[in-house]
Amino acid sequence: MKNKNLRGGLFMVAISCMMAGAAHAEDGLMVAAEVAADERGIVLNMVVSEEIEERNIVGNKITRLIDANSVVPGDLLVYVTTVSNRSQQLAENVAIVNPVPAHTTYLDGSAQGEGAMTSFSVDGAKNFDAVENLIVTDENGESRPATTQDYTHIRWLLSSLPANTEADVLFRTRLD
Amino acid sequence: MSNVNPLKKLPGLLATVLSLTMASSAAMAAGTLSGTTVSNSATVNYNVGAIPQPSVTSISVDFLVDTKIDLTVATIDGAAVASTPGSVNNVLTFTVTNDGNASQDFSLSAVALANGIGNAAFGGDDNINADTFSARVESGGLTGYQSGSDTATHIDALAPDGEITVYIVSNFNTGYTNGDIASYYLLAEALSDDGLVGTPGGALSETIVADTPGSVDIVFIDGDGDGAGTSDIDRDAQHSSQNDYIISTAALTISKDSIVISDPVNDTTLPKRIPGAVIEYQITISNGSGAATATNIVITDSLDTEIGGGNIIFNTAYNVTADQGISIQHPGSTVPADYYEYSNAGGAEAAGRGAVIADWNVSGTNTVTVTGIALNADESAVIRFRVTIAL
Repeated sequence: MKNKNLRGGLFMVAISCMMAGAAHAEDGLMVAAEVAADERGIVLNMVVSEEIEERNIVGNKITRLIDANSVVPGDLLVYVTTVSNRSQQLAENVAIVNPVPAHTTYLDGSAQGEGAMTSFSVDGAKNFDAVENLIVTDENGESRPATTQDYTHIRWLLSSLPANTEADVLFRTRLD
Repeated sequence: MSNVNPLKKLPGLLATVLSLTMASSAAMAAGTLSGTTVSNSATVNYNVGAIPQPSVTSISVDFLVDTKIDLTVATIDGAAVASTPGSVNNVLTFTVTNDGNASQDFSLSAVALANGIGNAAFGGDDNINADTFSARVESGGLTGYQSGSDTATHIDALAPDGEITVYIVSNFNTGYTNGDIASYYLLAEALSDDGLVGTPGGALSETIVADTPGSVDIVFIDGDGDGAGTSDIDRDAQHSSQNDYIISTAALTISKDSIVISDPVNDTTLPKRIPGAVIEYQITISNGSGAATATNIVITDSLDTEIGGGNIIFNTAYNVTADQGISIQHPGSTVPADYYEYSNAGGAEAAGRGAVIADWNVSGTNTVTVTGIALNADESAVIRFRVTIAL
């Protein structure tokens, strides 16, 4: 799916609400106004967790997600981004782009998102393509298929996100 | 703000990629340095009614990389280190590697293995201990242990991925037997890097209670080294490796035989030991299998009682010419190939191994003396000389 025609545009409904929020702020109701403004647009929320492996009471290996507060090299990290459409309108061609964080390496096959078309960039989010089409050129000018170490960004493309719905996308990395 | 916790919705998604996470264990060295902040934020673009909308960016989610304590002690020697009884500064060589992601000091201990059956690092039974032993750190000067400069007993400030050579240095008194084994562990423990040269840092404690968000915690991930004979276990900031000394000393044996060469009646045909018969003495010196090289072997054989009593006399006419009464076959003999006849007036072998000298009467009256023979393991030397039974 092509999605190269995105340009900066104005979302008139949101803008007007934000202006209304500012007016409220002058009345000392700033917090309520900001919440109201958030809930009229698209909101992104991201959580990073550490995935640990342990054994349950019958000895089977299970994985569990815990807060990413005690992370050392080699640990697995799960990034979950929730995109919420809090407007009253259908959002289309919803493209969520997430850089592979510095000091981490994307784990092959880990990008997930229900109904989302996943693609990757190896050039700092200039171009995105499917895994099998990614090519990198080394300093000698020789091309080779990209590996997960080459990925700089991940993109999930949702054809649409109805009003008052949300979707989760996730990926895993390992701390270098 | 929404308070929907996305993690609660994950199990279905996670199950689908579980197998992938197992397969992608990258070769890990020290990794991302302790204290690094890893940040990430997502951006979304979308259209409403075909009109592109301003992109939305999430807040940045950050975490702080904690301190991983990991180390490896490895034995460098490929076989037990041969040591001679009575020798000093016998060296077992190890490396200590900081596999953690922060600079650490390390304490070092040389731990003698308890005696046991089949428990040595390179096979065999640990049955002795060295008389003195200690751990020393390579100072980075000359390669190999230098007693004058490699004097540190702990490691200061070893950087992530840093590796340093450590020695166990031992002295052995005399009295040990060829093949005795003294087995040792080098046990290293990561300490805090106190920033001081010559002073070890304090012991580390793993952060095992509630994590402190936003602070650098300490996690032990080291493995269990060779450790059966040490306190070293998984995740204790310690690691160990085992190495052996094996006593290597010469195992000389000596035997003496005689044969009759000729007698005045039968000449060389079935000669008998009658007066006037020529008798050849043969002294064989052997060094045992696996033994150390013995040098400067001195053999003396006194015939003073027999000669003084008038029973025999030296026969100084050996194979080749007169006045050459002692023959020596030893490793390195070159002139001729296997034998060389020495003058009984004293003379050194011109070529071959060592400076072998055979002579009469230098160490005592009527005594054969041979000096200068060297024998490796499994080598022998044979000394022959002749006497005549007095008429």
